Amino acid sequence: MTTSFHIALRYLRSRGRYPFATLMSAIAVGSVGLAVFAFVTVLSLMQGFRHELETKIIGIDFPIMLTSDGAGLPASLIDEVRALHGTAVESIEGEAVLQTVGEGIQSSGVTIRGIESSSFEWLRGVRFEGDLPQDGAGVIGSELADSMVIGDGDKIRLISPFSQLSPDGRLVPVRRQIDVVGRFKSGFFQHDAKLIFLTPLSAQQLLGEQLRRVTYLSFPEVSQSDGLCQVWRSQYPTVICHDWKERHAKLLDALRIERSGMSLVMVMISAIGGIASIGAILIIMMSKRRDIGLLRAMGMRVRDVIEIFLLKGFILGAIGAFSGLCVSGVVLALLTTYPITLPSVYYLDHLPVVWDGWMMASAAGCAVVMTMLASAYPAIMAGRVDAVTVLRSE
Amino acid sequence: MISQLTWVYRLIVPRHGPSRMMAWLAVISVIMGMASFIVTQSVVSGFERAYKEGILHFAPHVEVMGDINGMDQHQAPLQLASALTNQHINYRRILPYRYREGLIVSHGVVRGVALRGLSLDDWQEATHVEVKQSDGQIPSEIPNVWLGAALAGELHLKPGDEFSIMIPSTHMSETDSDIDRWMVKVVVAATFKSGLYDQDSQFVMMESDVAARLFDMSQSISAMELYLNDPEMAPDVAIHIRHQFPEWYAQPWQEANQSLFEAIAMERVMFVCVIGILLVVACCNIIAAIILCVLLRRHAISIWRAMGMNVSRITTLFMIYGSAVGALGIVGGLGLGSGIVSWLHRTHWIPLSSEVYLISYLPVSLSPVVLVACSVGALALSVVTAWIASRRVMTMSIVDGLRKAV
Repeated sequence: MTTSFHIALRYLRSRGRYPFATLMSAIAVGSVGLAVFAFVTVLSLMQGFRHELETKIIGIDFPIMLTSDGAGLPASLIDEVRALHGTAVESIEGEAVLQTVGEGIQSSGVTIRGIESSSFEWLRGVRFEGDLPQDGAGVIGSELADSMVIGDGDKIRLISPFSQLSPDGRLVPVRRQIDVVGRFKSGFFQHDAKLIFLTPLSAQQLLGEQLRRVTYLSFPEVSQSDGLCQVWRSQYPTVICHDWKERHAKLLDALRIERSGMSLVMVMISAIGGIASIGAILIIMMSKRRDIGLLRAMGMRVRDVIEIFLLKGFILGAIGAFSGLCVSGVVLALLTTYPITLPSVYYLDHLPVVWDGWMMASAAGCAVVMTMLASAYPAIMAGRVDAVTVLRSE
Repeated sequence: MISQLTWVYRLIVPRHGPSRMMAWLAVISVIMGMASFIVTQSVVSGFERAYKEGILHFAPHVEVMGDINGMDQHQAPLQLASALTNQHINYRRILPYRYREGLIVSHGVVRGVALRGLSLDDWQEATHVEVKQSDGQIPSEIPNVWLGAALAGELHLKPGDEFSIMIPSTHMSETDSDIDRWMVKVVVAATFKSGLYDQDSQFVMMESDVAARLFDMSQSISAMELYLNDPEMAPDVAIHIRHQFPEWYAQPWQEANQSLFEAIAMERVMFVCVIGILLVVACCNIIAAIILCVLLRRHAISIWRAMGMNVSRITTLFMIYGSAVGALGIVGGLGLGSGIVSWLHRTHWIPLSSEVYLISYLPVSLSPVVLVACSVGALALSVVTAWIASRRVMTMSIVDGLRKAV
């Protein structure tokens, strides 16, 4: 331990004539701690919200959606997907009206998605109850089932508006009755309240001329899908490619705006914490002028005096950052163990938390650096103290 | 009080040096804290107000629903009106309506919508929706409908355009030819705008008699809309209706949108906590400003005390100084915060996605209650921190202070 560090550590407490130092050190530590606590907690929650939302979106909507002009996807594109270890899931989709059967018929607009049973394993984070779809039997979203009081084993009617070509050349609706054999919960309200899974054959029979053939692509790492659509759009003009970020751009933009707003608040908290540190170290410096005079008279160099107060800033920042991390860790652990239920207007049912070690370390590091920067002015002032004047007056 | 302030100005307020700088830093931090508090609370209040206005511009104050088979179209409104009159409940209008969900088909887009049939003139009078009628002649032989502005925009429809709606009948038949009958060609007679995307993108309105024919509901209605003179009375009125008519279900607008208002309340609490921390830390800087001032004036303080000035008097002077620093910050913060809020209100500078937030810009609403509560809270914090700091004067030794030459 160097002399400067030892003195800086000793200056954390003051038993002498001016007991302000202890109070101001506590305030500085508290300010830095609060700033780190607020920063880590808010960012963990916001990251958690974003991560959970992305997981749920990708889980049910896949990273990439491809549609073609009817000729199917080019073989070279399929090869590219295989080269990336990707999986293609074929789906038949369209809009329909759901009608309950029996007393007090209710109806609701729904989206039909027909995929093979073997492809359900690629729906990540989607919880299924009951059986998977079979021909003539489907699986409906949990919110839809609850709102229309549909249970397993119930029958529902699905009506597709433009399904069949009539003898006079018009497209006419088709109605099919299906059994509900299960329900799913993706945690993404839009899908849980509107989506019905069928087999491709059932979907084709219902949607007829109105069907859309869609190919969803899944990759081992979601990041592999970044930028693929831009490349494929230029290479394959007949293929319409949308990645998940484009399909949910407005939602992701909204999250970005919220994150920017909260970051601005966090910067202000940090700035105010920084001002508190300046004040604390300035007061400690002023109350230790006699000590500085003595040290200078005993031969300590100006740079060593400056170093004492910079180290003082470092110690205050480190203690504050550590205590802030500890408190935020406890709060986040409580939120993980006892999650807060969110109102249904949010896309998620509970407040998610992400433990990001890198973010926590960055917040703590920034706090320490900021406190050291805040201590620069008092440190320079300490370096300017004239030993003769101080010793004479003190 | 004025003499106290004169003493503070003459004896305490630093003219230069680190003490003056610290005082200004404390003022700036309080300004930042106050401004953040005002802006965030104004944004939350803005959302609350915009949602409330949007809902009340479109939705009924109480929705009265019967059982799953609907209600009698003649008896039910009369019964409700009579019950309300007997209880001396002031209401503006009772609107019986018919309801179905269907699919709109237009320009290759198939879209699920909510269809509502009621007296459109009465509805327009009862609500505050902006209605844009067609300039030209609308054919009367085709059913006329009003579309939400966002829905019309999404489907590229304007007043005068024709499109098809598929309205499934409750009287099911097993033949496909009957299903064909459910496709109805309609014409857009007008578009309406309530201000909330959710409502403007989902609803298709039509006259009650048209809905009766299209929905196969000639004798019954789905529910009734009740518009009160005072919308805030809705929960009490709903309880009364439930009590009077146990077979009906009455839902006030606050309950229908409960999750939305719960979400706003949750965000308000979160912002109060986060910005409250900011304000507390900002006020702690006042402690630093006072203590620095005490340290630099310890020689003068010792002389005052040696000359017989009471310690509590000196403490009060420093406390006034600290409170004045806080008050200056509060006034500055009020000015800055109000300025930012007014500017946001005037320019709608931050656009939002209406599909996510239901409104297209960041709404703000400057509430006098928030301003007063925030100012009083911050002033109390300033006074407390100033008191904590000024008590430190008492710990100083007169001898040490007098020995100090400068």
